[in-house]
Amino acid sequence: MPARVQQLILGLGKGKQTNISTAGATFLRFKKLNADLTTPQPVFENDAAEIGKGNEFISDGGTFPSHYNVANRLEKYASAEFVTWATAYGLGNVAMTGSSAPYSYTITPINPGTTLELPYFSLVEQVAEGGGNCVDNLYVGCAVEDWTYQFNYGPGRASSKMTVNWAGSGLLTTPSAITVPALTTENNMLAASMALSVNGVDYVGGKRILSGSIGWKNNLLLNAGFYPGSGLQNGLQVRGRMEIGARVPSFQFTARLLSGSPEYATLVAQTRGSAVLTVQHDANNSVTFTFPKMAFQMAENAEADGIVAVTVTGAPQYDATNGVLTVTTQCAITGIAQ
Amino acid sequence: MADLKQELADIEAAVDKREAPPNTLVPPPALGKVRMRHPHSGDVKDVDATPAALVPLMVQGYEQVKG
Repeated sequence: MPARVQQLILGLGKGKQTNISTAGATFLRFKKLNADLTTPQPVFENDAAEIGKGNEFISDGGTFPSHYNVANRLEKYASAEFVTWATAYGLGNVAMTGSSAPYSYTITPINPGTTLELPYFSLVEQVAEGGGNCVDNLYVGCAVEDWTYQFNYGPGRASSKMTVNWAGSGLLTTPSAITVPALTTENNMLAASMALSVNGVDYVGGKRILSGSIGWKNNLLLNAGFYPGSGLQNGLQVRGRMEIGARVPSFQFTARLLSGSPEYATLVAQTRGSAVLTVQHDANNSVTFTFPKMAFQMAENAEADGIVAVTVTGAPQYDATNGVLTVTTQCAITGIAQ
Repeated sequence: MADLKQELADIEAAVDKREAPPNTLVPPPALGKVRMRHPHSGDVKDVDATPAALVPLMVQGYEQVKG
């Protein structure tokens, strides 16, 4: 009897792992939008191209274990809980305060002067089938490669989404032996709740804002994870570390273009100011993204539904005191990335 | 020689500070405060539990002391 993909039970590690190879003990169960199931991909190389064996084909027995590749994508409507999870693991330095719900999280990128490794999480996927499971994998030692928060005009939860790409060390436990808790109660934050101020301009108050995104990419050094001594699983190499590469923050938005709109002048003058975006479900479930210093890198005339608009690509700058990006959140879940 | 002895004592004190478990015999931070510690220098600061107070330290690499 086959299984439907909606049966997927997805558990994301709540508490961070103590190290890359020790599985986390606590999980949050989330729904998601994309149907991609994670594949524990063992990679084998072969001798087809090697010279001296008489032909260009793979020899009998000419395949050799190489390494494990594990990676996938999570697409979700943006809830306070999931955005907290994604940014906490994606940026890495997390302070949680509060003794009861709502808990407040202050999240900043890790300082490369203290560490190059983000907190690692475990991830479990289970799909029930025929009285057992056709998928039951625990991926140990995973890190966030990038996350993107997107907002759009239009009704419903699709107006506010969060996407995460993650990569794994390759360490895998099958069957997982994990009992995933009940679905997390999520508080979705519609774009209709948004406040956005960029370089001193209130884009919501002026009813100009249409769409946009905030992103962070860690450019994880995945190959460097396969270092001499990084470890083996079933004869295939697994990563013993996943360090950040050159990280890239991003910010883009499209707003209606009006007479006197300041974007082009801001671009030409390279005026710098803060960019602050807040979305919320209610007073206890919210997320605020703050770029302390933002200049504009590009301002292009555009069109949306026949209305003339301008698409601005920001150039986040590093502030000596407040860094390049801070995410502050409130939600009812304690212990995310702790 | 005295300078050298003092320098050695300073180094030992710095090493002890760095290697000490963060919570050893230290009272918890006051209500509304968060204890932050730099993982390399071992420096500990109790600051208000607000992003305005936390972020400048976190940017420098300070991490929250749990428990």
